[in-house]
Amino acid sequence: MSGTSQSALGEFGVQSALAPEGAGATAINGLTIGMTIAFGVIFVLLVLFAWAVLAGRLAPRRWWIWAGGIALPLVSVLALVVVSTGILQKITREEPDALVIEVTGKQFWWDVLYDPEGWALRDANEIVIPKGRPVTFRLKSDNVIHSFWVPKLTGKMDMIPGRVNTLPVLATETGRFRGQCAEFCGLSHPKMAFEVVVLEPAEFDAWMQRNSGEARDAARSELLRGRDVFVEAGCPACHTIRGVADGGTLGPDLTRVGGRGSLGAGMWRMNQGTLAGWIADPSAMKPGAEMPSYNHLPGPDLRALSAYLASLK
Amino acid sequence: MFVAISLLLVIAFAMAWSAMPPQHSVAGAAAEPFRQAGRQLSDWYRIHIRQGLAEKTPDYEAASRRFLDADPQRGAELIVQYGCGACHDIPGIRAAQGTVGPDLHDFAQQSYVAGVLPNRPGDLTRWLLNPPAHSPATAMPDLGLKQDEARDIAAYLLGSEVRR
Repeated sequence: MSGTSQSALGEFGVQSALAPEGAGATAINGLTIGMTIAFGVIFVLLVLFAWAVLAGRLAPRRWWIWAGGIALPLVSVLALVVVSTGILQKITREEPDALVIEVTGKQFWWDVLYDPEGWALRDANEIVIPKGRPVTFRLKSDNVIHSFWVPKLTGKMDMIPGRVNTLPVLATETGRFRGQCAEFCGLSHPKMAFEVVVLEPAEFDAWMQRNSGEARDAARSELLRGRDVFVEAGCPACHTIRGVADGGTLGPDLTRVGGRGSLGAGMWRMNQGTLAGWIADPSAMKPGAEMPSYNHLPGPDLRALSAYLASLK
Repeated sequence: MFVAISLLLVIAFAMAWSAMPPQHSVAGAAAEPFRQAGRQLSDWYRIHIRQGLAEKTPDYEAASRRFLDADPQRGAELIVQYGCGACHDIPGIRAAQGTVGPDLHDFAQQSYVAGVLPNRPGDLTRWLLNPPAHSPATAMPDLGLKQDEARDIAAYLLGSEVRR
């Protein structure tokens, strides 16, 4: 059944290192293709040689050992070292005026802090960056080792507790690019995805302006009720909604939760229904998630809360 | 002997051909007329032969579940898109293993929808369009489905016992 076998988030950007949309991924892809071609040529030559010798068309010579066993590997491996070192230099070079985005790996989600020394705008699981402007990701973890990988933008980089790794990115196309934790980190490691949304620079500036303020007001009575439930049920102990409840940092910032493309770090499409399901039983949707089940909320309260969160765009 | 073998080969080939998804292959596109002829044949059989047999023992239950113009396949796609699986365990949908709301296996066997509406195509569609309107205390939110979307999802759910 075609409709049921595809991912719920099928259109949320293909995750392929062979279709690069960033400077780093393009360089890595070129290296991969070059290496594959060189390997192919060497392999075909070797097969031809072996065939010629076995068929008796070519008499073996002692100097072949020197040429094929020492000189050729030395030259090809040296060439590979020089080229790949050059590419590594290129893709890890940090621009001094780059936009800094701090990403912290959590137990199966990503805490995002834009411009930590200036704006300090906190968000989660969806990273918006401008096209054509250098960005430096500052990668951290406060639990186990994670790895930050957006195959279409650049290579992967580990997030190691007690260390800060940096990863420069230069996106060359706009679009939504899926990323994935690439280091086994626990029960829901395969469900720890995220998205990088690349916008035109002007759109990006507008996005930052729009999202740096307080959360959108609750405009209907049901949404107001939802906001009250959020506070009464104790959600602010872990979650922040700027302008409603500040200080919660254990869970993702929810100031614009309804505006994200996905729920549960790239796993479910964001809407009121999936939000309600998540609140009532997070561990069913993401085994090992730290959030407890809020299945003691009465039905109408759950509906109001999920409607309120979905309205925060 | 030769005839039997070649006949078998032709049958096997035709079956493989018709099993190919049409949008993915030229062969599938070429098979479309045959597929349609097959569909017409099976329709004709259903209407003229089986109906005639069935008239002796009319299946009122099946008739009550019959939809007009519904597309259960699209319903399955919508179930994936809307993420119904966040709360429900739904047969045939891989990611739908939720335990927040009722398990929807054998849904057609159930007499009532959420204990408030008779489980009939029209009522199930109305429920999906706005659950809180029928049961104010429900936890199931109004997902803003359109009429045709609700109808297709209802068609999938009521047909789900077949897929067990």
